[in-house]
Amino acid sequence: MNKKLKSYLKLLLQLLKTDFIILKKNIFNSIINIFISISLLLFVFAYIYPQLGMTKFFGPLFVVSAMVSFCIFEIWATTADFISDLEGNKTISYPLTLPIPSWLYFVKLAIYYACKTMISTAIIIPLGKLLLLNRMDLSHFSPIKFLIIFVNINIFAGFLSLFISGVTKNISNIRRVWTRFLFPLWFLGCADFPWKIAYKFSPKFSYILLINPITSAMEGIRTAVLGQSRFINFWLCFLILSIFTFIFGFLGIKKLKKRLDFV
Amino acid sequence: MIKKIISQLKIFFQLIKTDLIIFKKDALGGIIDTIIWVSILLFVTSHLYPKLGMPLNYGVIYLLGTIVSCSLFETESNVVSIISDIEGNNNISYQATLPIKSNFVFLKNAISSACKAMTLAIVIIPLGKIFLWQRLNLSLFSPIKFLIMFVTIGIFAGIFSIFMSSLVKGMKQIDIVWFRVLFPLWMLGGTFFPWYAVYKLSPKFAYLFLLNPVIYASEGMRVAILGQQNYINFWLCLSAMWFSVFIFGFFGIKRLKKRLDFI
Repeated sequence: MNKKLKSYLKLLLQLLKTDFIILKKNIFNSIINIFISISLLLFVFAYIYPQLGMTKFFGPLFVVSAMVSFCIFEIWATTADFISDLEGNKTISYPLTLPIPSWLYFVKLAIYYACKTMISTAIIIPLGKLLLLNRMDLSHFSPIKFLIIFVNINIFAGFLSLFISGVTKNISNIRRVWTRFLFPLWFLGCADFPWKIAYKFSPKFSYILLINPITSAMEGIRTAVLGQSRFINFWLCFLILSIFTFIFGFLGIKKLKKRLDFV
Repeated sequence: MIKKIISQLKIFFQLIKTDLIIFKKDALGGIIDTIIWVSILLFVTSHLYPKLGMPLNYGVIYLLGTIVSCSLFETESNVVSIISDIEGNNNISYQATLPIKSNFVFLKNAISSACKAMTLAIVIIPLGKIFLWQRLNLSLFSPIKFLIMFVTIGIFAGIFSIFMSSLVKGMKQIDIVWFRVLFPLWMLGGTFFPWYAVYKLSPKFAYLFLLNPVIYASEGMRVAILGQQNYINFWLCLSAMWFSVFIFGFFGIKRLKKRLDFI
């Protein structure tokens, strides 16, 4: 049993290593893209918006939220790649013939997706600090909480990618997945406002937002970087996000196994 | 001579008609998508942003920017379809064998794209009126200016997609179109803020922003609906837009003709 597990792990690590070698070629480009996007977004949200009356706190709030936002954008790109592979070359069939359980391969995929986004989004906070300087107060920054929620969010996004890949019928539906599922989930997941603002607007509405796992991701990472006082309790966010990670992981793997007709 | 022109125009319009017949199948889905994303954005910007300090009429400013956004999104999808066609079925080369000038093939593509963008964006103003109700004051609305600007923005987006397609070497570079060209133009193009907010921040910056054609689209649309006060002169916006259409059209068609080896 132990031997078998060891061989699974060895194979899994080897597969991950292969993925990273391929990723290495493109990661620099992704980082440059994020660098450009964040710089422009921050210029607008942290410097132009206050001219219209927006609170100066919006800049730091936006930087931290961007770490989750880019994970969501990556889900869409990943799903598109996955579906086009299923409809085209079907390269996924090969690793599924390897001597590892198919569910474990899907878990490896989710971990790989998570690592990919973690690498490219890691620059966001330092870049935000560089662009906002004193406007971004990091005195409440908790490295441990940050690490916990950062990993949690990315793993959640990895499993959500699997789930969406499992339920998306074909590549022509991919744009609809963005507009009708991911975009509402992201934008109503407190992407551009703290949950307490939604509560101020309407308590009933704010409670509905709590069903959305992105709300927990946004509020959790905000707490880790900007402190607890203005946001939902960190451990509650962590718990909700972990539950959703498990649900999407379970359902996603089940759907994909059925779709690919694997045992 | 006149007979030849009439026959070329007939083919030209027939080709546009064909494109629009194909688009008809997806039009309803596209309109539903527009309604979903615009509603969500409007809800957040008009109801939650004021709680963060933004003025109550920010939803209105934002709404008019979404018309421009809608056209720019269509630009991206047209670039994707042109490049994937060049790399795939190469339908564009077939169209160039028809008895019309090759310039018309590209113009047809731009006009079809403009029609698609306009179809998707047409729901935005009525939707905004329903959402914003009294906040969207239409007493200064000029139907003629609106129509002129609406069509101009659509044509600009179509022509710009031709220009962008001429710059992109292949599908692998498609990310670059969005992240490094369209996104900066869009973010700094006044879709999220009026030009005077940049002027308040820094007049030097504001003058630099005038180099971006998207700013004229956003400001022109605001003038057509909200009146001239506070915005860049409508006729200046219109002239700048048409100047850009000619420049991008001229270079875009020239480069694509060279790339595709058309006479």
